[in-house]
Amino acid sequence: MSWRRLYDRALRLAARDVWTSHRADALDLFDDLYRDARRRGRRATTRFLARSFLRLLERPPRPAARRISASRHSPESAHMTNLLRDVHLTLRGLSQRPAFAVTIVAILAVGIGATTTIWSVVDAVLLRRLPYPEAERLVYFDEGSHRGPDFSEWREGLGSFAALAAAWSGSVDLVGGGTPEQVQVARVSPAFFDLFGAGTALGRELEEADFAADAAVAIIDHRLWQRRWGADPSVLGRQVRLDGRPTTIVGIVDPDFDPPPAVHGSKVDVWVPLRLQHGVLQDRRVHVLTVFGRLAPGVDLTAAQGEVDALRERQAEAHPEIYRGDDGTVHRVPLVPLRDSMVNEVRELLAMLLGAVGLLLAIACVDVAILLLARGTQRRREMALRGALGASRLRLSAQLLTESLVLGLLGGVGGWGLAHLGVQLFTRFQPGDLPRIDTVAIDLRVLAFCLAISLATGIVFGLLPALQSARVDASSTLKDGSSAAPGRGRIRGALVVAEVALALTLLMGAGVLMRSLVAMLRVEPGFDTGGLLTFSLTPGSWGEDSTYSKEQRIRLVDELRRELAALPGVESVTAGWGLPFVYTGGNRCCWQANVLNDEGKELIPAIHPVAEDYFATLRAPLVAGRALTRRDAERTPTPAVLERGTAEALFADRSPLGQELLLGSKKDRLVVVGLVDGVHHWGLAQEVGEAVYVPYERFGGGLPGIQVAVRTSVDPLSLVPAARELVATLDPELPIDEVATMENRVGRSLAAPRFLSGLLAAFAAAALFLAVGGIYSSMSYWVSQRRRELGIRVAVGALRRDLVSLVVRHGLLLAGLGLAVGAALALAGGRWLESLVWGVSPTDPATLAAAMAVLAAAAVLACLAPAVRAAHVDPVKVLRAE
Amino acid sequence: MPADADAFLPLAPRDLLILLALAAEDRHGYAVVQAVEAESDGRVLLDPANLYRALKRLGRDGLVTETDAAHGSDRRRVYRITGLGRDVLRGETVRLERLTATARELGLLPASRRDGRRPETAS
Repeated sequence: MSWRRLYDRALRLAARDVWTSHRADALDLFDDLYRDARRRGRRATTRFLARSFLRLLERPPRPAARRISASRHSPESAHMTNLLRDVHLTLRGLSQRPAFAVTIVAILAVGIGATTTIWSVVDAVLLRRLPYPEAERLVYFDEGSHRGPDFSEWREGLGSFAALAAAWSGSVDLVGGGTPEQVQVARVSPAFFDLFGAGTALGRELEEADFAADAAVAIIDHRLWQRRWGADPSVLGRQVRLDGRPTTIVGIVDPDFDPPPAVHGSKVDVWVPLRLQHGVLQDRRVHVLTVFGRLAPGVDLTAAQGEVDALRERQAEAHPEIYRGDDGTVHRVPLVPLRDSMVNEVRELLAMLLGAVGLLLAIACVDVAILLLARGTQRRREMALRGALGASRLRLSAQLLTESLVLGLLGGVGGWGLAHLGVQLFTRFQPGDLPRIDTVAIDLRVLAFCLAISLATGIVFGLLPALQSARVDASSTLKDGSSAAPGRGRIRGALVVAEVALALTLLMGAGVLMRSLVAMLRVEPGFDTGGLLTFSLTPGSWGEDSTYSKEQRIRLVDELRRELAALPGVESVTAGWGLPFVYTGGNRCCWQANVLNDEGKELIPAIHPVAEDYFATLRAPLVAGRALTRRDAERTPTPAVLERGTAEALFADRSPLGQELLLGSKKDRLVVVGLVDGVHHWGLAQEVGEAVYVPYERFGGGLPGIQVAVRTSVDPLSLVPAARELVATLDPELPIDEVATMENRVGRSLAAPRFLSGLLAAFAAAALFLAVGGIYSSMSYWVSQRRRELGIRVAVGALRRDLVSLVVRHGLLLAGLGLAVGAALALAGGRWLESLVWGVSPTDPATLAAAMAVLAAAAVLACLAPAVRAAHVDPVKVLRAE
Repeated sequence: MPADADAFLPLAPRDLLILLALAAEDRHGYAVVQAVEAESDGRVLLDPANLYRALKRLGRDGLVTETDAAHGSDRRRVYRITGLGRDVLRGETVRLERLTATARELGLLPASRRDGRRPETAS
């Protein structure tokens, strides 16, 4: 598409009248002018093209003959005419100075674009209504998972709820329709789908009969259906083996259904009926259910909470050992509105992001204001002349304001485009903790926001030049040779100070977050994370009807370890349940049980059933005693290894080795044979917590999940195919899943702080760039206003370096004030970052000093070019211009 | 000056420059653009759309006519200023002269040395 053809189209669109009568001539002229412009160079060409296209938007000036009749127009249309004329003037003025206009629009676009991006995310995650019917009345039963009997009793006994539903999530193996794979299953109660307004796209929904003990049906997720069966509708009615049991697929879930994250992080592949008759769900010691409810009409949350508390009291009386703690207090169940439970953790993070991007936008506005002020002063003569020729001050201010609004709107358009890009980047790189992040969209709400922001920024930075122009005194300006404005210097200085202060705040925030990340990276995980391959298996399931019995699982682990160890490149193999870095952060899935020492002191540590060679494979050194062996499973009391902190909590100064403990409600006897120190299971930034390691063969066989770790001397991932084959020979219907190196897992656990500090660093870099630009243009202007003074100084003997230091001193003075204000802001605002930083204080003085140094250096750099220019002022030229 | 010429004053700056260009000789579009650019020291750069808009309007108002005077193989239209156009141009320059005289009296216009002329005395 040549420029000529483009111009032809544009002409047809925007200047129909010319196109109809003078098309050929206009196009030929365009060609000639384009040719001339090309000859003169690239800049001339760009200017010509910009001019030609932009000017198509102009309304032609009305000739005098028709102006007389214009006085018959009403005042409103006169305003409109004025507005349009101002817009026209603005566009013409901008197209005459494209570089200036482009710079300003670009700065605004970046600020507005970033703000709109973050706002889109906040809107989707925090503000938008949940996609469920009557979402405001949905409630989440908090404090972890709940027991089967609790759910049954709640369903029967709570009148405050119109409906209650529960879900039990886990991983099971799916066989049929392809290679066996591990899928995420959610077993849900009858009211679940109704509660969340979800239906099936194909097939039928779960019916009452499905919840009987012998029915085995499933509804599968849309994505799984596409992936595994190629969206073939004949899959309905087909049987597969789910968790070892023959199951009939009866429906495909609505693809729009997005379950709340509490249900397995929202990634559910298969939905099956929840059977409360299942052994595990009759046991009051097992917590696996996530419970939701919808408040009955007319009932508020406090009333419902009261009812739940009362019922819990009754339960505590019937089963005190379950529902009461050591000190006799009853374990309450707090009710939380569903939306709050989904967003509480990320609320602060998003608020911080919004604050940071707001700072960036403010800096962008200040920058643009500085640029406009500088240019505005250059136009004082023009304004003064126009004033003398009859334009009112109001008109002049209005025109300047219009200019700012137009720039703001253009910046908004650019920002809108950048926001699309920004949202894509954000969703791609975000660490995966944000709920509903995949529903982020640039939509009308966001558009309205963007528009409001661009108009607001236009008014904010446009106000200053407009106010200044209103004070223009015509005759003095025109008589006066220089166009120095006394009051303006102060305002410009204040803007620079503001810009530096805001930039320092952002730099400080970024610095503190980066140091957080570094601190986390420095944490010793307590074992060697390199060269370790990990994967998980789920042979069988919970309960008596599992395809794998306890003994079969133990035998599987034994065989697996033996076979894997025989592979070339393998140094050692271990297995167990609860490998480090499998569940990180706040979400933990672990087996917790109480242990009692001989004095009756009780703790509730995490219990890790581990196979032989666990500590050797992980290379977690023992600080006392010995590791667990295979034969320990048969000994009584059963040998166990403790975390050092746990041992200290239980035995204080006594030597823990040889001491006995009672585990759980069955009071199994344990004896401490070894101590390990600082093995991080839940993440580098999480505390180690209390942990007890017991032999897998004694305590782990009943758990359906096994995690395997292989210490390799070669690249761990190179062994994956061999491992898969091996498992397949042992059991062809047992897939391996969650294959990853330990390093990978550790890296994933740091994804959130990495993302956050990276984002803030980007903001801070942009802020630094803008601040440098603002200081530079401000100082350039300052120098150009003082040419006469500088010339005089040189004439009376000042040295070049005196002039340089003059400029730099002034620049540093402004920057220094800005740093002081910024430091105060950063220290005051530190508490907002408290929950997001780790290992460093949000008001850390060293980071503050470093940030100030960086900004000061940048300020000096920004002053250099103007300073050098000042030093080369030719006194003769300047004084002769008098 | 003729009554209807008066009705066109004050001229829009663009129209003034176009009429000036045509007053020198008949020109086609490209030549007008170049002449205007030269006259305004490169400050007024016309784009095709607005040039032809202006020429159309001036033609409609009777200040300019289109001729098909052949410029060799040039099939482009050539524009010529009319008598009315010259009258309007004359009237505009007189108006501007009066304006600058007033401005000079007020002391708003210092002597310009750019074009090498000496400061004028009031005539």
